[in-house]
Amino acid sequence: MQSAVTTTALRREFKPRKRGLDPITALDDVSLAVEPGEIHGLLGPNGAGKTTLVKILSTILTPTSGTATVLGHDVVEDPGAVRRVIGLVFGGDRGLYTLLSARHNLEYWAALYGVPSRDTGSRIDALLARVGLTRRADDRVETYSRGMRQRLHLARGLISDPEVLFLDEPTVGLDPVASLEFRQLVMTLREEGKTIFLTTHDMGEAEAICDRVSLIDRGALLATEGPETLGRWITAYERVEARGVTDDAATMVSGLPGVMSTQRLPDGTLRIETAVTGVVRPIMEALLAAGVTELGTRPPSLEEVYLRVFGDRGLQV
Amino acid sequence: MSRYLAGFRMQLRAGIRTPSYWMTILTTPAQTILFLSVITAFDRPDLTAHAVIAPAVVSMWGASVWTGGAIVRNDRWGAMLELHAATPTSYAVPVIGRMSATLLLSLAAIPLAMATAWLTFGLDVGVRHPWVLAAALVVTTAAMVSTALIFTSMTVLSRAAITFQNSASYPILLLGGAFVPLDLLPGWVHPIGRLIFLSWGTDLVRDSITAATVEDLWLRLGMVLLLGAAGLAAGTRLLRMVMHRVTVTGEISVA
Repeated sequence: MQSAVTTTALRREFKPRKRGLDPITALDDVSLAVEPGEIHGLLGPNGAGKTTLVKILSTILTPTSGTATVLGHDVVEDPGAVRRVIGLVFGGDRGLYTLLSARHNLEYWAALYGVPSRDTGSRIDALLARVGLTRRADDRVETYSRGMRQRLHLARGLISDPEVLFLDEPTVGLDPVASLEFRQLVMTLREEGKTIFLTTHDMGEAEAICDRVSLIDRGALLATEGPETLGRWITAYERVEARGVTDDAATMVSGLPGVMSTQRLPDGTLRIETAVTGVVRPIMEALLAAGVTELGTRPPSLEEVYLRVFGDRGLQV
Repeated sequence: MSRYLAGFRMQLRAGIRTPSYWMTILTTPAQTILFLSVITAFDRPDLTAHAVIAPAVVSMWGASVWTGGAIVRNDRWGAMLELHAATPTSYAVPVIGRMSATLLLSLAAIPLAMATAWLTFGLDVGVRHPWVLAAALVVTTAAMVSTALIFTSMTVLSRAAITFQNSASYPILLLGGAFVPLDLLPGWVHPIGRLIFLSWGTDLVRDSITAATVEDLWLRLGMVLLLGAAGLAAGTRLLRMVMHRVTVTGEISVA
């Protein structure tokens, strides 16, 4: 079966405006395949090359070398064919005409995607209902909350009924509730057979909705894993934080099996880093036994996971 | 056509709420008073129509060039330029639609200049051939949009194109006979000026107001359309080229 998206030895360099400086490599030898109907996550920290890859795949940036195809269409040789089968959604506040209503925004983009006039009205109504904006459809976008704008972004990306949808950090800046709602919307698209390529720096998000996740850093693809592997990493490198821990108790905890390090934060909180799975519970039990009652667990940051899993191949924290 | 109309409708909806698109029209009364003061001081009532048409044409051309640039600047800052590049439609099509909508609004500069003449100097600028005036304004407006697309392309290429726009569009006004008819300029300028649609358009507009008979009407209308079409072809091609270029350089976005 043909992959929905493929990249082969994809490379993109940016020439600095200042003469004499070396080109900046945003993508370096990236090869990946996204299967039809899957939600494929591209996980990486800021500046890893995620947006650059999405821009190349959506034909708004050309690669320096290598090839990329979407549903078999080369993004450089046949960008017009690619544009007819993709939708593109950015995260953040940009990308909408805020003086217009949601309906008028969608009407505009529908025309640009060549949606037949007779279908435009019904398609817009259906999309607005789907993203929960029917009641506010005729209000100006500038009056929308951040979450509403992001749902409108998604509706805009779906206006041409694309087979492949690119979502570039779609939940950045959203509150947890709005993020959850947005993820649920994305998951309903998978049920319709759409291929979704989503970039994120949120491991929890990637684990929650992606079928596979490619990890990228400094322009290089490090690995492609299933969400269960991400879940394992998150659990393995979970940390415990506790307040009101005496020095004696801290010394006791640092000697427990599976504890990698302990660190006293400026506000007095004791942070306990773990090295293997299954040690959080005994650590917390030991702290409780020592009379500590203010304690909890924290997931590791993406940077920490990269450093621990990929070592020197991953980024420097 | 539906894509052009989508841009047209969108600009009417958003443009009315965005004064920067049509603010240049508001300069018309002040410029009209300035021009009328000069011809009154030199006792040249025969030039009244010239003094009224000049500021209106200057406003309209300013609106077309400014709008094209503002559309690109706003689209670039709002990340809409990238979203346009990801659609199957050439960016030129909705941009032309949007500029057309602003130019339609800017036609208000003509009655505004006439009203200013009447209110401030008591001058009644009668129109001898209203249908010719209407036809001349339609084709001249269309040619303005088409030619301004060339300047719009420059805005895509350079983020600091506003200076270029302002300085490069001034010769169009001068050679196009917007301030004074081309016939009153030095002879060596005439061949150059006749290559600019505006010289045919403004002459026709003035004749529709003052001339007893309008000679060579179809030829002159045709010349405005022909030169406007040439501007459209050049502008569309240029815009396509620069859009491709910014996808290569990565300058399509501000991030």
